[in-house]
Amino acid sequence: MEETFRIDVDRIRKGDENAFEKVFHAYFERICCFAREYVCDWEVARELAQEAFIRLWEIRDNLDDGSDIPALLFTITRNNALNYMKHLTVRQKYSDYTKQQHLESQLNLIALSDLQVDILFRNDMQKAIHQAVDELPDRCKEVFIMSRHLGMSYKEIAQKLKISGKTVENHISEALKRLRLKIKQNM
Amino acid sequence: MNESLIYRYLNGELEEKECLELLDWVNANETNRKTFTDIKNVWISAAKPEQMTQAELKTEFGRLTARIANKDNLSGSVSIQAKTKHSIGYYLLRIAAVLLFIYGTGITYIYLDDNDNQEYYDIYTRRGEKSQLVLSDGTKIWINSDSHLRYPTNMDKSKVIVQLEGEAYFDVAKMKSRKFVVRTSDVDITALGTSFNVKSYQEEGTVETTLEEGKIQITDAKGAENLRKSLVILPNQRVTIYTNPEAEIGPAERDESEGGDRVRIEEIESTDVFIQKQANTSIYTSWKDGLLQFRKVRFEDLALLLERWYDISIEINDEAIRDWRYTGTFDKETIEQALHALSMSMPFSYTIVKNQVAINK
Repeated sequence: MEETFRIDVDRIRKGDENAFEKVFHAYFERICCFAREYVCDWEVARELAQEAFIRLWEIRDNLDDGSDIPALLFTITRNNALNYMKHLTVRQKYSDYTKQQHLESQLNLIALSDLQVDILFRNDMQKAIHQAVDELPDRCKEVFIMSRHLGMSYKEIAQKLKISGKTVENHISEALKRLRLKIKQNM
Repeated sequence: MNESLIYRYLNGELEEKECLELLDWVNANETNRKTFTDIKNVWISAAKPEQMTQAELKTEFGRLTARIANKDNLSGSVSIQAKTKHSIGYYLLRIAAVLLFIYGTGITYIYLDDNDNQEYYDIYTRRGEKSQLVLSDGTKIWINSDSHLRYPTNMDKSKVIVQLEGEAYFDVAKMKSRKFVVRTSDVDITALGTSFNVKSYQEEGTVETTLEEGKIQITDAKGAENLRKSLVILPNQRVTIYTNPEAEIGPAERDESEGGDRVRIEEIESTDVFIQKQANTSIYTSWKDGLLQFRKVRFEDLALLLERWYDISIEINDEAIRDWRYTGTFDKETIEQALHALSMSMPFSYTIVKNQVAINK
């Protein structure tokens, strides 16, 4: 994680490309992944992330010592993604997207509108969440990581671990409850 | 409703019916909505992205700096051509690309016409694709995107007729005793050892020809009642024939102050033909060298060009934007860079999803 990484706002403000590149390396992928959770398209997510960094570079003159650069990046991306999603849901209605994709986009749009974006860039929060994942009961942790980080379907997980689909869901539910509690404590 | 639906939504496993059920539940009241977004927030916060390699990140950063440099160049400059210094390698690549064009693109078929018992080759180019060929007599033809050219396998005739739908540039080999005819939907264009461009896309309702060298003659093929007399065109002239009475007058014609003399040809007794003397021909022919050039072109017309050039479809969602005029040249820009550049000179927003582009205020 990035907790040891310090962003040199002053150098970025002065147009130092190296300092800018460091931020890029630290956050680009996280921004991409964040956007993809909602727009469900890697290419679009990459574009949104690129846009956020272009914007950051454009407004560098206005940065000051108190500027929270990760907060800016995530917020810009969130706003652009929201815009994109609003257009997308309208367009999906009239084009050859499946009904299912259209419904899912609507759900994503609601989730993104209500997202508390700070849970994504606050280092203490990120640290707490990753620690909480680490501290999950063994089986629960295993299932959660397979689903969340390895992208396996519940069916695949059930087969692999020789447990029922219901049990998989229970583990996921348990994991999310514990993480949710952790977020509440750190807010 | 149990939370199982939410968990399965997170993992992307909902069926259509379940999606609808969840959406209704979420929209039913604030408590449900909060439960849903809280869980999704937890899910999102636990992301663990460590898939991108350092090399990929480097590439992405390169892409970013190129875009920023492009933007910086643009501000304060009217032209939207990127100022780039090219290395020798770049030119070598360009040469390789041209050679590939000849062999690489365009789909060729052989077609036998029962009426004249003549065999033809058919070449189709798709959107975003160009093709170049050399006929057995040495005539060179560049075919632009989304076009169809049909030419006879046997070139040893006193009159060679090639049929064109779309756009092509012809550099016709000089042969004294032979006529080379480009047949479009409405007119025939006859050449004697010349270089000229013909643009005849059905959806544009016009046939346009630009002459760079030599002499060409335009005659009625079958449908062009507009053209009551044949027209002789001299070098550096550009002629637009409006074959579809519904067709809107083109951008250059609408703007009377633009680009040299324009004359109504009285003897043709038609308002549907425009001749531009002393046209800047390169604007109309540079596509064959891989440049997309446009001068004071309405955005709506430009969108058509971009659609063919990049194989995309563009949806303009704001009426005012349609009439904005743009001037510029694109060389090796991607569609992202092109739209970016355009939106810098007169601001609009856009989204690109696969090959669908939406333009908004």
